[in-house]
Amino acid sequence: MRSWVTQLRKGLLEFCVLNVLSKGESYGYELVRRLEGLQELAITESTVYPILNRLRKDGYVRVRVAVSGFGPPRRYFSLTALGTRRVQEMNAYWDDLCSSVGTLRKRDMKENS
Amino acid sequence: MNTETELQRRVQDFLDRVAAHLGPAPDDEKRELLSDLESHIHEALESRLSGRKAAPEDLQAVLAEMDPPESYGEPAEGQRPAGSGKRTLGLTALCISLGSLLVAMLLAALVYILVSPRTSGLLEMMTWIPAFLFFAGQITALVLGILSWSSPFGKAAVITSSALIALTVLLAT
Repeated sequence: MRSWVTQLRKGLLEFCVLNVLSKGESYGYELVRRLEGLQELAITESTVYPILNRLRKDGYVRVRVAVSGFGPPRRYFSLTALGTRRVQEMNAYWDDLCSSVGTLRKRDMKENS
Repeated sequence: MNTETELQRRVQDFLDRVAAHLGPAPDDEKRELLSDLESHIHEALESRLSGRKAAPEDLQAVLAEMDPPESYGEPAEGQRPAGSGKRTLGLTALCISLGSLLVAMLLAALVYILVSPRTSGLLEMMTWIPAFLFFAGQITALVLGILSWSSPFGKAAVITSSALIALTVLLAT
């Protein structure tokens, strides 16, 4: 069960990061805090920052550097056009997937009752 | 050393420890990650202070809430298949069990050819070597198999080595 959960979480990380950014640009700390709120996903900074950098490298996310009131400059992350398309595709697929699994579970429950 | 310098030193120390675990990633990726983490630490520290000056204990609390530096050197959660270590250990145990059986059989055949009824002394002592190798291999496989019992290879190693030891003892007595 645990292995299945960790594999599922892994697959959902990028999906969740892109979905948070689809609501608007965000800087690292803010993004991590928002994702940490999803307790079931157990997302922390050591998983978020490498994913953000990979998404930037793949062209899904862009970075804007702005001066911060304290500490080093903030890096704001936002979706590129490619990233927006990607998250739309992922959301559409997720909806289809949930619907298919839901149908399957309902059918199995009916057959078992 | 003033507090600010001390805080900077502790932040840098944390970042250095993260950097030491980053492995073979390109330098620009490492720099970006460390820069993100440095910002993260400062933001987290600021959110705790609500206007007052930071003390080393505040930074200590922030760092304690963050993932340890070692976590940056491993695949992110879930990226390493759960139980892969046990699988490897179990497979090793099974290989040791079957390998020691094969080596012992080959050595026994060799010793049988070399040791004629007339030879004695040192060469005769060689007859014990295959038996020693066999039992040492089976006991090692049994221990490793028990340690990796949760994997199918671990179970297979325990069953194989136990069966081989039992069979050999039965045949010998």
